[in-house]
Amino acid sequence: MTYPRAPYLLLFPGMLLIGIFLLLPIVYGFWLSLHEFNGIAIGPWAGFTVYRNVITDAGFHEALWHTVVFAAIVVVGKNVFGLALAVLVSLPLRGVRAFRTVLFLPVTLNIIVIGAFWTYFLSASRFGGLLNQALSAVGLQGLEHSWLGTPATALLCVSCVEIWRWGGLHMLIFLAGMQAIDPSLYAAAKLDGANAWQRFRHVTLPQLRPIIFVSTLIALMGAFVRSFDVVWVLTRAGFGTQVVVTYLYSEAFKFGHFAQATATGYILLVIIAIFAFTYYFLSNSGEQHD
Amino acid sequence: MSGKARVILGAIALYLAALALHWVHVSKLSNASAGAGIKLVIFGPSSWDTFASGAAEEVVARVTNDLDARFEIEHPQVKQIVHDARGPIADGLARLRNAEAAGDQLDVVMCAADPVNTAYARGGLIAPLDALVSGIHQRFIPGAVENFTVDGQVWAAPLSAVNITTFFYNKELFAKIGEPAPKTYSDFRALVPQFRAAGVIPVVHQGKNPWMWLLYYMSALVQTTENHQVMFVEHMLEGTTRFTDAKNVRALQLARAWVDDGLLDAQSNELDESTMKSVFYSGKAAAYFGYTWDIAGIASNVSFKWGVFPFPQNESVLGHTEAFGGVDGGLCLSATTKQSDLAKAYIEFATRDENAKRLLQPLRAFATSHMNVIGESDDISRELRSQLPAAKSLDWIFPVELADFMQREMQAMMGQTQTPEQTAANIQAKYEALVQAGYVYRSTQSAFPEATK
Repeated sequence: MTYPRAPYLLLFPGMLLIGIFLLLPIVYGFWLSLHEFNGIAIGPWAGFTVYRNVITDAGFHEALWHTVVFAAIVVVGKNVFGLALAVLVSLPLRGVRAFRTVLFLPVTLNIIVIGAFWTYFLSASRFGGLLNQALSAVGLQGLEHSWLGTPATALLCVSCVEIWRWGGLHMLIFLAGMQAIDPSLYAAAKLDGANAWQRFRHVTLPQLRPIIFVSTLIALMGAFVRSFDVVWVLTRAGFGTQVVVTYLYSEAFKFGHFAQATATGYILLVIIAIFAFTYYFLSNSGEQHD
Repeated sequence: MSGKARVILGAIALYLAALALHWVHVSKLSNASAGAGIKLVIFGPSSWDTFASGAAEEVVARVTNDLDARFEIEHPQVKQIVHDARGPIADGLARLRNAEAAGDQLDVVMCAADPVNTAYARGGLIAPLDALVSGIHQRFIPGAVENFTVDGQVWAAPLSAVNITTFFYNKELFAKIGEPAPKTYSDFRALVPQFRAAGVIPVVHQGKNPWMWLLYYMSALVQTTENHQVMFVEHMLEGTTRFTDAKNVRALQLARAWVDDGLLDAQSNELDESTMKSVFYSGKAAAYFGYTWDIAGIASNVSFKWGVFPFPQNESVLGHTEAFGGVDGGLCLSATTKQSDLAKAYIEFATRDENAKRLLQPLRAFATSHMNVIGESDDISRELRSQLPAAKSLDWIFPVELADFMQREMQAMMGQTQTPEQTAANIQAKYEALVQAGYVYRSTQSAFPEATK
């Protein structure tokens, strides 16, 4: 039996580019992380010494803990917020299309604009902070607070901004999933006397299961890998918001510890892989059980 | 092989051939340009690292072109001088490192004193200039060369305006409460109720930039160590004095007192540079502590009368107040240059008095790196000159890992989430961890002290 060669030839240029620009750097980076490396010169073989240094570093432990907390809040938040918005904009209301556009707007905003807006919004009343002014206006002066300047609330605020920023994207993902659900299922549920909540609970949610899986995976990876910009613009990684990617940045570009930074990247890769595969297998086993 | 596959393979081969032709063409162009004469590259790690930095773009271009033209007359073998200064200050270190790692031609590096002390020298990105600078040190003001001396070697020829720490204040707000600029901490603290009553924030600060918090600590440490702050810091870094020493803890307590006494807004941690300035410019705050490089911005943005005063003297300690900073820019020799002699000649040429005058005068600074390039004669310039000579910034002496940690700790302390005592203990623990990881302090004494006397 012979296989046609044309598909492989067609795939070749793309695979070549992926190999050169994606796989090769990954392998080369790993090789670098096993050497002493100052960003310019590659030193002697160091084995896993650098990995041991990173894993035993108190700063890394702190950053990892913050990342896990951030991920937990953000993954749940993006899914719940995104799903709630999707349900809202799927209602047959007037002007719902415009509403969808408005809700998607934060996704398109530049992170610097987002940072400037939220920093201003959350600042003290005397600096023009709208949240604190609003609290004061409704007689809740006691709740006025340095939201981004206190370790107790800074990480939570950063997480909320991240949820707000990407909620529109997750709304679209869920909306696409909801529009693919067979309407006859709702009709059947209605005939059986199911109310709106029961239809959502027993039709929408089970049907959205693969979509929830994708949305969760996107949120999970985003929380671990793409948290740098939002953290940096809001707190400069201060006040208990140092996450693994900002730790990695500091190691490389502030301290010149390129080997540690490279190793941190691979440790992060392994952590994400563990979370993703665990989630994948848990989801799969649940599906088979169903 | 099918016909379709042949077409695809042919297209790929054509594309690769076109790429190869383009590469050959570019190489030829590059060789032709190099063959026409020697090229000198003056590299600025950030867009701030230019001659007459801070002046209008056309002024920068004019003084730079003028200098290059005269250098080319003196060195006719040089046919092309390329200036490459781009990007934000925060990315400067990475840009320099990447350019050298990539093998780009870099001969002279325009460098700020901070990264020279904290990264460039110890990172092997620049080469020492002891021999060159020892021959021309009489050109520079006291302390200028010292600001570029790391581990006993000189790494730059100074060429910049002088910038020091100072308080900027709104004269009209002080006049409104009927008080002059404070001389002592107690004087300043006594004004808090009056400012509060007038709805004015006494002092505002860009606390979101953690490195700015060190200014309060350093200014207090000068006084608690009776002006032996450099020696004291060296002892802490050598391990012979602990960060929990009474003088260090006292300095932290004095810094924290600014918040506890209501002078400094506790929520300053939320403010970045631009927000802090807008608070000051709009007349909501009476003063802020910063660097004199803000002068041009203040002059062009405020409609009220403003002035400067030194960090107030604390009467409870014996040391006297000092400003930090000094000459903060110079010319360095790239560690990867293959034209070391020519690069040094350019550095020597640019720092000659007559050239320095052309390069520095557009800045209208209160003082410059050069003895014979005198500063402006207005009241503010005279007041600032009275605060000279400035002390070397202590965060240039701390290893960068410790300085970064201290900044975060100071941020937490000034945000009232930890005490000065906890802060000192945390910094000591971090120092011990660094020592355990192999950190050894190296001296920062001048290579030729006669140059800095």
